[in-house]
Amino acid sequence: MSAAEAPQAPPPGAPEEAFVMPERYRLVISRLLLVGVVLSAVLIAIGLAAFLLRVPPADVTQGVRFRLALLVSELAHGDPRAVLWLGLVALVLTPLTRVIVSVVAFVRLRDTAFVALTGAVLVLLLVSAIVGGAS
Amino acid sequence: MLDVLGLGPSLSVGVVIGFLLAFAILAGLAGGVLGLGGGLFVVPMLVLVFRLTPTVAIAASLVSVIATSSGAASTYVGEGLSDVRLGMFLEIATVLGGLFGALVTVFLLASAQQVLIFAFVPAVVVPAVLMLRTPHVDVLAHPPADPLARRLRLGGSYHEALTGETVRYEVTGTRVGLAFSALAGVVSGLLGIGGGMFYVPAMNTFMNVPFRVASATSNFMIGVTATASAFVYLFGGSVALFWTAPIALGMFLGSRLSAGLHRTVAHHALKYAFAGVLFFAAALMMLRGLGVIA
Repeated sequence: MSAAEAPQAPPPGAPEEAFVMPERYRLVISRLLLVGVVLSAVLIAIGLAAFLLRVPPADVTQGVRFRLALLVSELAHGDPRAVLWLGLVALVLTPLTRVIVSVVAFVRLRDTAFVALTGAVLVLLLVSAIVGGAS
Repeated sequence: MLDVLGLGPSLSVGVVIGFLLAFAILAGLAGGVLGLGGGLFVVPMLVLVFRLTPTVAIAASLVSVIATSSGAASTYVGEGLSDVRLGMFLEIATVLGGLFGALVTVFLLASAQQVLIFAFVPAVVVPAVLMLRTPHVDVLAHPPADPLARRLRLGGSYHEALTGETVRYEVTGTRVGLAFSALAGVVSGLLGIGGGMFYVPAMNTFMNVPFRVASATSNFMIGVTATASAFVYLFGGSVALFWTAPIALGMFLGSRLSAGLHRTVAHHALKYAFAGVLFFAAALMMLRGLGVIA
């Protein structure tokens, strides 16, 4: 079979046809992940230190519904809790950002199937946030 | 109001946070070295020692798992070990599973926490057993053809440091892989564990993915899956800040520390020791669920 024939059909048993994400996109994702978790860790560390230095006795065992308005008001009051929340927000946003970056990467790579796949994952993530807050 | 050793509420909070940090660092270290999630240690600890509501404990663990997984994934993706496309493909299933599992825990089981405590028993025992026993499956050069995998061109290669050779692999078994991953995602969202113990066999045993790649890709997937679940817990009102933050920080630090060790094979003695701890935790959870211990 000459090289000019049937360029679209992958020959059977040929992993060479597998499409791997190129290095420069992988590096962007790698750095993004690291920046996200390190930022989160730093914020939490600062928040914990600030919190421990001036602890108001508070009921700390309950779960709290996270609301952006609450965070903003806490920040305005200089409440160290706000810094801790920011740390958690940074953490949770890291994989979300990674998915967004992946969508962009696959658009650039013209990998349409994966644009759809990663887009679907992104939508599911947003649905999770909405559904979680819906009750 | 917390009062530890008569230190008063302020110092007590400090002691507790210090303990949580230390425990989480160890859990992160163990997770990194053993390939087992820190969540398996963290949730029972919070429920048994601090009597936290299981949902709150699970939320804390889930958020922390994002930290360890993303930290590890950063390294693996940079090294080219994680199969990003395969991971994103399976994430459809895992994220759906994680969303579902989280919804069940936060809303359906809100007043039936006992169910979660009991559910934790097999969730702890199964990974412990798998850790001790799962053989690494070798990759087939010519696996049975999978049309979906072919169409999506799933597969790749990686450089095996031990032998110096480049191993190529072609992905197969997409249906089984998706089903397994979805199930693992549900367990993850339901109980706050990473799920790596299920993702790795799904890829290595059923999808013809080399163990190293499966392990690296699993780390990559866990973060996004946990995020989907974490959103539900976060906006659903289950994240307790002062439990979650120190544990997230500690697990992250522990997992980064373990990165220096991750290339060395975990000794069997260590694995047996940690499996023992997990069996013990499972037994305690069982007793707690039955009301035998408070």
